[in-house]
Amino acid sequence: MTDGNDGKAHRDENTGDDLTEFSARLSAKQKAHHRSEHAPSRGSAIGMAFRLSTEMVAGLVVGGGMGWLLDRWLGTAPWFLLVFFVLGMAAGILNVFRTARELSAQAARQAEEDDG
Amino acid sequence: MAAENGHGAEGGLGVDPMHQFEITTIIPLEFGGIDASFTNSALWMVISAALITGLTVFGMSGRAMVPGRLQSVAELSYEFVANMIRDNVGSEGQRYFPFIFTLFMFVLFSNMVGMIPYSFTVTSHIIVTFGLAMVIFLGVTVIGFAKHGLRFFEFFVPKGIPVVLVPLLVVIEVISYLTRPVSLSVRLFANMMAGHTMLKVFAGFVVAFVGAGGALTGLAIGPLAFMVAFTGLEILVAFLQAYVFAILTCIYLNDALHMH
Repeated sequence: MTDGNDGKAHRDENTGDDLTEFSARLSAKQKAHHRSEHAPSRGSAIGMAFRLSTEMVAGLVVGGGMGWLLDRWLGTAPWFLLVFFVLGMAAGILNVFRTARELSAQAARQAEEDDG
Repeated sequence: MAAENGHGAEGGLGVDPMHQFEITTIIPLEFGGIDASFTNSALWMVISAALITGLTVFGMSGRAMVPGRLQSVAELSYEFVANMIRDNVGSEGQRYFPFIFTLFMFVLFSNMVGMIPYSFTVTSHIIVTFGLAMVIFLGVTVIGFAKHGLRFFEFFVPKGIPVVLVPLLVVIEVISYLTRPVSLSVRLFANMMAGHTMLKVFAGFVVAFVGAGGALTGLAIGPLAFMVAFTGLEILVAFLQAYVFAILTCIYLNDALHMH
């Protein structure tokens, strides 16, 4: 309560110069706050590595699984498994590529924000 | 040797790091041959849901202009998710705010509640995370078809490629689309499980060193210090994984709404 009153009294005394100086300090603080608030999106290096590897493994698992199921259904073992395993690999690489592109775009945006 | 005694978790120095993930039945239930028992997993889900409800209902009950601590937390989480949706999906995404908010808070609270000793981490079981991921995947696909009709299939046809390559690339794109629920669920589950197992393994080292007695007792400080640092990291991971889970849902939703 008393804090609020003190702040008010102080504000009344402020001259124009003080205000411009204050707003400069405030915007610097806000920028720093903004930066720290968005830190999680950058993630740690291990998090990034983990994200990329799960994308790759997921591609292989889904591709291989689809091939295996098709083989079981059509009785054509092992042909669909072989083909879909390779396709799954391609899908995994595609996913890794997309995630990496997105991550680097994020990093570039972050760097821009930090500079600006 | 301790690790080999996987099932003999009780007693002795053999601290089984996987024991924490065991499902135990609290109230046995069965519906038409399906085991629907109320387990420790279900209990901790209910606790997470109750905590979230408590935070939002009691936090906002004051409706103060200058928020108190609890109200601040409730408002911050609202703004955090609202901003996430605005940045990643745009204004149309606000319709799906309740779903994404619920999802984010549930994953976050499950992860955080799991950090309490003797609790159970719901998200360390792949079936739970896969269930969540499947709901997102199916929901987003339905939204895509509802919004674009059959034109949604164009999503799987990359633009500007030779006609000969189209069939091959469509198959690859479809597989890539189908990996979404897998990578989404595996990421969350593996992070939570790996972290919690690691904590228990190092806790086991502390117990073993102290149990060894003599000069070796002093060595226990090493793994203990590591555990303190690692617990901090785990809390960060708990938040980060909830964030990643929610933001990927936003990205998938954006793909379904805007198709690119």
